[in-house]
Amino acid sequence: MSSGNNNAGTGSFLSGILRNQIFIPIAALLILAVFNFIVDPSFFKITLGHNSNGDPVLSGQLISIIDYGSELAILAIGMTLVTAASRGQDISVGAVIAISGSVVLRVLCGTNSRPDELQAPIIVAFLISCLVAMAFGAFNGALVSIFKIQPMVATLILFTAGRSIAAWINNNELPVVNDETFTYFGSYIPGIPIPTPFFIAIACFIITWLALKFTNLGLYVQSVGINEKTSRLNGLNPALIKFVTYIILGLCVAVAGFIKVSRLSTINYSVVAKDIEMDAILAVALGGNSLSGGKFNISASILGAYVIQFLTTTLYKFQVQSDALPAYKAVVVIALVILSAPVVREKITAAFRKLRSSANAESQS
Amino acid sequence: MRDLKSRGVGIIFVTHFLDQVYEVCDRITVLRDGQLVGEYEIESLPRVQLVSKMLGKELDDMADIKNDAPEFKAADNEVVYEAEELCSSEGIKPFDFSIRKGEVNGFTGLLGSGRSECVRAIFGADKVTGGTVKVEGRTVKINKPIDAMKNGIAYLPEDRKRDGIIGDLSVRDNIILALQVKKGFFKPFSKAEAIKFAEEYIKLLDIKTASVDTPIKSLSGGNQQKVILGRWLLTHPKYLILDEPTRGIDVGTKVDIQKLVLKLASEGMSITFISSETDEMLRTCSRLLVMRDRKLVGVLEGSELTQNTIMNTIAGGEQ
Repeated sequence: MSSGNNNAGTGSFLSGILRNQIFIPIAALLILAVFNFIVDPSFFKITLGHNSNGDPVLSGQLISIIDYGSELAILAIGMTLVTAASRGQDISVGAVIAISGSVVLRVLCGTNSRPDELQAPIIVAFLISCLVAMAFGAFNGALVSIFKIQPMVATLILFTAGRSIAAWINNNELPVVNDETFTYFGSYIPGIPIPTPFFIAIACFIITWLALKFTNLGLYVQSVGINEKTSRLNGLNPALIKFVTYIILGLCVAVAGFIKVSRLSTINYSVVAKDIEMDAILAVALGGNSLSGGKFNISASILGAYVIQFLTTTLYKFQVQSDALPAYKAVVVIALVILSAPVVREKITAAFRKLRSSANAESQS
Repeated sequence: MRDLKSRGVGIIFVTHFLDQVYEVCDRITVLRDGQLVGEYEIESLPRVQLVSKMLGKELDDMADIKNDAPEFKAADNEVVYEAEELCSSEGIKPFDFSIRKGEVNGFTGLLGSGRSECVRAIFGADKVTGGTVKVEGRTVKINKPIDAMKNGIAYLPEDRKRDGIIGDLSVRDNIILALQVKKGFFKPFSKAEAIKFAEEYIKLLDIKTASVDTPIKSLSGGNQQKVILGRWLLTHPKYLILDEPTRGIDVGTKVDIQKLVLKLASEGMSITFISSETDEMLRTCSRLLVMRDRKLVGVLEGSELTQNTIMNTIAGGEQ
């Protein structure tokens, strides 16, 4: 009797994990990790070295994953909310990163594109870029929530125009910031061997977690994403809630853009954050969130973002040409889309239930 | 279906509608609460007995409902809600309406007569285009649902799937939703509070659900309806609007809901009850507003409340 109970206990625990959507990115992470471990265990080696300034820095593939995956993780936060509330995705995030990055450089450099000194404090540049990115988010949000245009179509406008706007902000020049402190945000703070973007991503995660805990953002966004009509009849304003998610995504874009320009101290309008929108959407999907809106799990999306960076790093390590990367990622998308289709998920759960009951029967007989 | 039958096709017909059962079926299998009650030849099971089998109760229970309810004495109580010349973008003619504390009234009329549009205008669910509204004597503006909610009005919509449930969310979130929205964005209930509320109403309304975390869409229609009813009761409304609360749900739950309506009214809640089944409204309402072609054409009270007068008023007074 007791052993039977025990069995059912572990069984329901297993299926509990299975049903939890964070299972998907964890499983993907494990598969990638095992694969890398078998092919080349040195993938996981982390070494403590010194950079050109003599400060201690950790290096290794894992460190580069948590470093370069951070912009993606930050974007995934906003993209998850936008997806959940408006049942569609914002494909203009890469272009708006170019815009907000351009704004940062413009404020820091002023009219001279290669100043010896900063023309404004870094925090001011950052805040102004936040406002600008949020304004562009509001533009997208207005198209989606007020004019009820499909999100991908609405954001196609800035996807197309964004990089030209970014170039126009700096008169098509490429300003270079010549300041040590500015580079800290995209690399290392002296004395701390872990890359700064990772800390910024953690800060963003904590802020989001607090916002979800101390406000009704989560409940409202999910309600609106699942059933707009019902939400309205329960006193919510669906248009406003969708609008707000686009502004939040705008803020995430500004933070990601700030990291991007800090990495290089300059910007390349046509290349910066190229194709990042696809990775951000993929992160949401990999986190087990339905791309047609509704329930969401931010932690799973963030984990999904790092898993994608893991995949990218793995592919680079196997010397896959950067042009060919999207093709490999497409394979992951196909697998994900099929796995997350309700039909397949039901089959999997049913198969597990069968497995469990047959195991139970064996243990009893 | 008869055609198919004559061609030798065996048909299993699943329905709520008793008329259709007696139209087409030869044999009836009755199920209740997931259990087989029995299988009967249609000739051997008159309609009243079928209902009692479905309910698992003796017949008199249903007839008793009206008698349980004390007669409503309208003049004694204060007016809770009052509207003059109210109209909405959905094309209803401006209408006057009022309801007193503890009163149960109803809108009746054929499908599409505008009865739902009237209550939607009261709740601000459709765009309100004119009229003055007073709640407990104060003039208020109700242009959207949140305005109505803040004035203590609750509305259980006609189409449960489209307007009532948030399918993927849990029973708990569905129950607390309206009160949570009313309380405000920056004041979320703790998980413990939410569970306490949900469990309270699951118990009160006898909602059959595996747990408070079960998604509402996996519940039966009747239980979903009770969850939504629970959601609005949790807001402790002064005035509760129920639009077709008993449509598409099992007979037992129907009776439960009717009884609950009368109980709530006896405790002082004002209720507007809309149903396509006139006998249901006769059992619960002390006043009926009759709609025809999007226009209020008559108000029936007291001894006028009979099937005949209702039919006549709906049909336009022609004998």
